[in-house]
Order: sequence, then C-alpha cells, then structure tokens
Amino acid sequence: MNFLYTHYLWFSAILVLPIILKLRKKKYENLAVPHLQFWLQENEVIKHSTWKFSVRELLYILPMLLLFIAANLSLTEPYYGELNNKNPEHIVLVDTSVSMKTQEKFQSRLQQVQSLLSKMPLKNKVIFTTHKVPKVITTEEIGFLEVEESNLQKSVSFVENFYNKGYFIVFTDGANKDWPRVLKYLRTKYNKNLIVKTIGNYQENAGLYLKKIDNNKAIVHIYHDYSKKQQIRLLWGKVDSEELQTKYYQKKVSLIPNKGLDVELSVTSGKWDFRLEIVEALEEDNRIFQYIHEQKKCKVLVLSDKDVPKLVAALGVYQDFIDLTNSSFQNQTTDNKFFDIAFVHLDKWQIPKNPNFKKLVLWNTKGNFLPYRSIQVKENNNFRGALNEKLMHNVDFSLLTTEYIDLYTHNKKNLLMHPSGAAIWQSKYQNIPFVYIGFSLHHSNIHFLPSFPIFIKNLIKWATPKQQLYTKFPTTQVTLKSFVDDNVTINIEKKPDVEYLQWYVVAAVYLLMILCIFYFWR
Amino acid sequence: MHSFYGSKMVNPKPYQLDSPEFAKQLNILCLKAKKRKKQQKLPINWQGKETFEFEEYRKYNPGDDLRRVDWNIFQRLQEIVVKEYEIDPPKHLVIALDVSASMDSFNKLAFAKAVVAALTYIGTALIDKVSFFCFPYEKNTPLQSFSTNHNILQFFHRLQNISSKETLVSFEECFSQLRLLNSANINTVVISDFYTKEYFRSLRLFRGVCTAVQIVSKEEFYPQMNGSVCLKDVENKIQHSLFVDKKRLEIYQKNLNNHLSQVKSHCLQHKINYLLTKNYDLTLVLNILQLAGFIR
Repeated sequence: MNFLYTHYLWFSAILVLPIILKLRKKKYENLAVPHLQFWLQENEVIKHSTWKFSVRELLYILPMLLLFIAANLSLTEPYYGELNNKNPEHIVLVDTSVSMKTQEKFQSRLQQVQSLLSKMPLKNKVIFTTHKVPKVITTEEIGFLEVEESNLQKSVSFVENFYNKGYFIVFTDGANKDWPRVLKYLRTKYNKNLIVKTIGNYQENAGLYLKKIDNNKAIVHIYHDYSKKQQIRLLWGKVDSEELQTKYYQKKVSLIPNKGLDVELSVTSGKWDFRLEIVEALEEDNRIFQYIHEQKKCKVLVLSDKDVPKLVAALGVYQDFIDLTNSSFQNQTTDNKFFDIAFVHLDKWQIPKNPNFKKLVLWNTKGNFLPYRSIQVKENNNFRGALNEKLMHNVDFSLLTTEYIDLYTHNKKNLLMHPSGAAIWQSKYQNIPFVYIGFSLHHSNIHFLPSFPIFIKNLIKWATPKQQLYTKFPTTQVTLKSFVDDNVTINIEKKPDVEYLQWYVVAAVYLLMILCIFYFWR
Repeated sequence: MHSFYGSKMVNPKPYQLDSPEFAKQLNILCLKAKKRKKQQKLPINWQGKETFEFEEYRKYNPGDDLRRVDWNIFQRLQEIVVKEYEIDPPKHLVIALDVSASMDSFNKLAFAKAVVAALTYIGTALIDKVSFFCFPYEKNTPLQSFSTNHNILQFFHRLQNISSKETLVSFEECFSQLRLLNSANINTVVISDFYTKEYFRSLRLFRGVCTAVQIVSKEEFYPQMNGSVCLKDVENKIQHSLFVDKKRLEIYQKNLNNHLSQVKSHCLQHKINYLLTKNYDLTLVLNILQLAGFIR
C-alpha cells in the first residue's frame, strides 16, 4: 500500500496519545501489602507480568488507536498499485495565437495561463509555445510572450518529439480553427494523458484582419465562430484628418458556419478603417485601422543593340507599373541611375562589377537554340561560351503545350521547361537574381504567344519593390468561441489507474471502531 | 511504601516520641497506672494466690535477681544457684517488638514504638526492671534493661530510629538469646501483627506470663481499593496482579478474620493473654499492664 499524501503520516505520532493517557491513569499501581495471602483464593496460582497493562487494558486502548489510525488513513489517501513513472516529464503547450493577448478581468489570457500553471502541482514540466519556431520557456515568461499567427500542426508535431511519459497539457483559447483537428489527433494518441484547458470567456463573434494588399486591392479575411448562418455588414472607409466624419462603404457579408471568408476591397493609399458591424459586440470590437501606402513603380533599363519593338510594346502595355521618368529604353544609358530591373538583349555583354540594377533579364541573341540546363555562369565568362555544349535547333514554341509553359509564376527555378531541358530559368549571380532566356527574340515565336506580355508583366512585378504590409490584428479582443471541446478540470497528481481506498472501507472501519467503543465503555 | 490511598487513610497522629504532647500523654497514663497500683496491697499472681512455696533450684542466668541467689550452696559447692519459688510475684517486664517489614505498613510500627515507649516509662515507675528487645534479633539492637527512667529519653531517641527489617531471620535464632532469660517470674509482652504463623506459634515457648498484643490497622480491616492492581508482598517480595472488586474484597475479609480467630484460639489454648487493637489509642498500655498483672 502506498500513500498519496505521505506527509500526513507524521500525524501517526498522535497514536502515542492514548497510550500515554492510559499510563497516566495509573490503574496498574504497584501496591505493597503486608500479607498477600489474604487476597488470594484457595489454590489460586500467583501470576505476575512485568507489563504495566494486561490484555484487558490493551482492549481498552484498541478502539482509540483504531480511531486515530482511521482518521490518519483517510487523510493520507492510500492506494494500491504503482504510479507509472515517479518523475514523468509533463509537456505543456501554450497557445500563442493573437487572441491570447485578450484582456479579461485585468489579466490577459496568457497571464491567466501563467497563474494557472503556477498553481498546478507539476514537478517536472517543459513548456512549449506554438510559435512558428516553438520556444521553450519558463512559467514566469508566459505573461510577456509575443503573439503571432502560427502553423499549429507543425508546432504540435515538433513538440511531440519531446514527449516521453506523463501528461500532455494544452492551454488554449481555441481561437485557431485547427485546434479541433489537432486535438482529435492528440486525443487518439495520448488518450487520458492529454489534458486540455481552455482559457477565457466565449461568445459567438467574428473578427477580421487584412490578409493582403495588392494593386490597391486589399483582401480582408473574416473569421468567425457562428453556429448558424449569419449576415453581417462589413464597413470600410478612409480616415481623413480633414474631414470629421469618415464616409463608410458597406457590404453585406453572409457567414457560413466553420468557414472563413476573403473579401476583396479596392482601396487607395491612406489610412483605412475596417470594421464589422455586430450588434452584441462593443463598438471598438472587431475593428482595425490600416495605413495603405501608394503602389510603387518599377524603374526599367533596356539594353539592346537592335530594335526590339516587341519587347517595348509589351512594356508599353504595362506602363502604369513603370516609372517612366526614371527608366531608360536606350542602348547606352547608365548616368549613375539605379534601376530595379535590366532587360539585356545584346550580342556581347558582361555583368559589370558594380551593377546599377537589382535584377536582370538576359537574352541569348546568338541563335535560335536552347541551351542545356546544366549551364553555369562564371565570372568573366561570356554567357554564349557556355551555350555551345548542346544545341537544339529550330524550336517552334507553338508546338509547346501549355503543360510545359508556365510563365505566370516565376518563383520556380525553371520557368519554362522544354522536353529536352530548361528553356527559361532563374538563378543568382553575384547576389543578382536573374532570369535567363535561352533563345533570341528575333529567332523565336515567343512574342506571338498571348502569354508573352503576361510574362513581361510578371517580370516587372517581380522586380517592383514590395509594398510592406504590417498586418494589424484587432487591438481589442477577439472573443471567439473555443473550437476546443475539451475542458477538463486539472487534477494532476491523482492517477486514474490507481485503486484508491473506497469510501465504504473507511466507513466500515469507523463503524467497527464505534462498536468497540460502545462495547468497552458501556 | 507506595500507596494510592495512603493520602486518604494515613493516621492523623504519627507518634513523635520526642514531642511534648507525647510526654504529657505518658504522664497521664503513668498517673492512672500508679493510682491503680496503690490500691494493690499484696503482689498477686495471675492465679490470685498469695503463697511463696519453694519449688526448685536452677542455674544462675545473667539478669537474675541477686537477692534470690542461695549463698549457702555457693559456699558449699562453689556454684551459683538461684532459688525458685512456685509462685513468684511478677517483677520483670520484658517487651518484644516485631520490626518485620509487615509492621512498617499503615504506621503500625510507629504506634507499636509509642506503645513500647509508654510501657517502659510506666514499667520503670511500677516494676523493678523493664527489658526491651526487637525481633527479628540483630546485634545492633541488643537487649536493653531499665530499672529507673533516668536515661529514658536517650532510649526514646534510639527507639525512634529503629527501622523495619526486610530480611527474614529464622525465629529460632531470634529467640535463642531470649530463652536464656526465661524464668517463671518474667512477664513478657510481645507486640506484633502476627502475620507470620511462626511468630504466634512460638509464643508458647515463653515461660511465665505472656501477653500477645496484635496490632491491625483500620486500613487492613477495611481496604478501600478497586480496579486492577499489582500487589507486592512486603516480606517475601512476591508479586501478583489481580482485579479488585466486591468479590475479591469479600475473600480478603474472610481470610483476615480466619487468621485473627486462629491467633486468638491459639493464645487461648496455650494460656497466653491476647489483645487485639484496631484503633491507635495509647490507653491500650493500661490494658496490657492489667492483663500482665501489674495493675488492677
């Protein structure tokens, strides 16, 4: 038999009390008498024990001892069997999503987690966060954690590697939609060792954040936890310091349960106010302010020995994206200007040591052939020298199916694939990213393809300096209802697989004791 | 002695032999005794006869009255012989005090000492000679004789210091010395509780008049105890655990009464004066003297 609370066993020292009480009563006094024989019956055998009290006396004490033992045992909570691991390493996963910063009762949810964890009787624990790169932290640090949107599944699978034995404890407000799925997975894996504690008060609500701003178009993501189909109004307007009242545009949005919603809104540069109109929520709730910068334009440099009207025409289509005043379409132009992208269509050209451009698009003008994909550009080497390895003649691009042409994306290394090798590819040379096109404009039919201008546009887009989007999450609280079903009261130290002393055993002991008292003290 | 009821039933007057109260009491008793003696004209024996017929000669023993020595025979035979008469008036009082361990309980010894002191004091005033000894006999406390009460206070002091003997000496040894002074005109008073059978049975060995004074305290008559006790015999150190209840007390009373009647019947059988006292009262002394035949 083991005891859950062994420190109560010190109370068993009280067991000495009844014995002392009995001894102090002096019932068994040694008494000197002048003539012992008078006290004896005929043929009575003289008997004497050196013990102070006889068996009869012990029977008097026994019920009192039983009383103390029973009282003591009921405190110590004895159990049979063994605990699995004497020093299990418990793993605590703290959700660090944005909503965990929510203030409730003068405490953020993270601070609530901190106070809860400090009260829990966990001896060995490792605390992880759900950051993109999960951190190992101490209990004191929880209150001051930074929050960010995270990939829950990745961080959970990372943390799982550290699990050995003990409990897997999750603290979350369940605002992330992935939680139900993740928890379901964890539940099947850890079964009873998984404990999920949800934080915060919940009511049905919706929130929003800016996902993307592109070409004066903002994509607003609306997330919610409505259990029924709901129609709300999305309001957005430009906040001008001159005007007192902002004019709001409005759009009715119907929210389907368990589904987020992307809304595309056209915006101009300036400070914008986006909010959802929800009756129950506070006025400040579900509202974000976002400053949208002006769209930046690309500075283009074109270097060619012959006229390339097809390229210029393609550039002309997208002149809105090009900073015309700072661009150069001549052959010989440097003028200490700096460009975002350079289109080079020269027979002989070398990359300068101090280039005045950020990115480069390079044409092979020597023939109507494609280079082999394993070409490598080395310093002081003409590109064309490398092209003599294997040549492919008379390529007709009209024969290439759309399967092989993927001009719309340029985040692949090989932009255009020919069955025999790469036709257009992307690489880096001396920290200058470049796109190499393995055929001349004059000797191929690429400019006839409808995708050519789009290719050019993508190149411009690629080179255009990115407009940085500092996504602002709602400053006030997102009180989303938890997606988490579990909410277990935490009572760590009690092991479920341990048999505790049943209440009726304790009751029986007490009853027996009372009977004993009645019998001997009647 | 450890006694849980000692505090309840202790004798209110522990007899202090040096105290003025005791001296006062002694004087009163002495006066009473003298008064009774004056009325007595002739020395009488316990049979009430007044004859002085010669009975026999016997060898001189130390302590014998020199006036009785037959000097004519001494001249002839060079042998000291004492004349013995059939009835000799009692002239010599010998007091024997039991100092065994059993006497120490319930202030019996203290009272017995007081009785001895009173007997010696009055005896010296009335009789020619008073002797005292303790038994079980020890060399440290030899036989002491008094004819006057000049040094009586020193004796009292010594008497006070006598303590009980825990060792049990065989009775024959104790009385071997005593036998020597055994003569017809000796009057012996034995003060004891007579719990040892040997003691009262050997009383018949005394020649002359013998008086047995049995002292039993009230506490012994009516013991007030109950519950579980471990009893320890004072003399032979045997221990016995028992539970005292009404039944047990009845057994005790029966045994005690049996014993007392046994002593009494034995005394009657062997013509020994017998006196039993339950109350610690010094007027007992007068009774003893009366029984011994010194006063009327």
